[in-house]
Amino acid sequence: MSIDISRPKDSFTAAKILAQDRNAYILGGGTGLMRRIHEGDQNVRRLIRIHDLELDKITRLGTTFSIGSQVTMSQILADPALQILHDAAASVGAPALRNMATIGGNLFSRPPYGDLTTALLALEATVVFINNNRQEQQALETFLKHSGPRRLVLALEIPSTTNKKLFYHKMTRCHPRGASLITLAVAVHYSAGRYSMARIAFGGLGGRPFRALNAERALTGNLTAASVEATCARLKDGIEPFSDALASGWYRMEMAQLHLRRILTDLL
Amino acid sequence: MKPTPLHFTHNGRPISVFANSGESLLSLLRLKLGDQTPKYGCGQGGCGACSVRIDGELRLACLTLAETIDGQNIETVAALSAPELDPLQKAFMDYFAAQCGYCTPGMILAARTLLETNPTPNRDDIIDAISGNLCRCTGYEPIIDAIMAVAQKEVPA
Repeated sequence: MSIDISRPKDSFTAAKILAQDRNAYILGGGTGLMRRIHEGDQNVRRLIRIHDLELDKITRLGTTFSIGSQVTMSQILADPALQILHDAAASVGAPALRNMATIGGNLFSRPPYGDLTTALLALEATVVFINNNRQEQQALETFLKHSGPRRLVLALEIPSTTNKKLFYHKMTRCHPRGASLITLAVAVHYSAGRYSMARIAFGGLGGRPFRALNAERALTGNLTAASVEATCARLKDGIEPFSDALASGWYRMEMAQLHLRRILTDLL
Repeated sequence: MKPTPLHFTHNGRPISVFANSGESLLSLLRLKLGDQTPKYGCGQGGCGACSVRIDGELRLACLTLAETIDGQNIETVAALSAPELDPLQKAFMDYFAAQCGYCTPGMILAARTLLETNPTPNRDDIIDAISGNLCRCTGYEPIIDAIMAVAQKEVPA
């Protein structure tokens, strides 16, 4: 199958092509799209190359970070200031893949991929994107729920990580590298030896990673053994994990509760 | 959908060639340049048999769009054997780390990349470095031993 290639000179032109052509896709590292092409996916007819658009930079804005959508996992791992994301970035593939896979592409990867997005959700990242010829910004959580026109992601912004810790678990069936059954990221604020404001995000329990808001609400107040159990129990509310060749939905939920319990119990 | 002219370096040799629209780097290397050292394994980035180095960075040729390498330096395992075998290639023979040999080019490039960035790796570092390269013959232990041996300079260069 022959593929059309577009090489737009600016982001707005790239966004316009993306919005107008349902068979056009942004080429990041190629780890997802090239695979689809090899598999003969007839939906991929046009690749939009945005390598000239300077989207591969990590910028510090005060206490926040802006990570260009074309930044790779290896770039994140090479930046000591982004230490909080290192566990999640290191869990993506092997070295060669990490040199190619981009943070922007990770947002659109479907299970069992897209592990970094889970960590970004827990850190309350926002997405900068072009929609309808305008640059906009939206919470990642909202962005992932969107099912409207296709939008060009320019960057991810990470709010201040001062006094914040991220606990990240990825469950796989083979080690050291394997596709994830579930990923779990819990971000907490800490001060004076106490943890608060937990943000809990899961990957692998649905079509896209999401924040477990019911579980988060159960965690208000002091963290106790009882509140940990209540939080794990609330996790089931409104979540129906899918079954596939890797695991059943029942097993995914059992493991999600187990890993959440482990992280929260360690914080007691 | 017309072919794209490319100019790049392949194992130290300047190359000018046309890439078809949507063509992978692996296809270009094997079919147009005749470099059969990177292998087609899974075509999904899961086996590492197609590993090459682009500007010194380990990448997967099957997932790389050929036209993106314009102006870059492409290195395959063939570059390591000139004028004589790389110590890693010798070690792979001495430690019986190659059986069918299909994964060997990717393994050696992954190991060479590791040793250039971390000359004193431990066993876990090696396991991580080759974790994207599947081997269905050796059980990995001889491969890890061979790389360890080179790292510890047991094998004369």
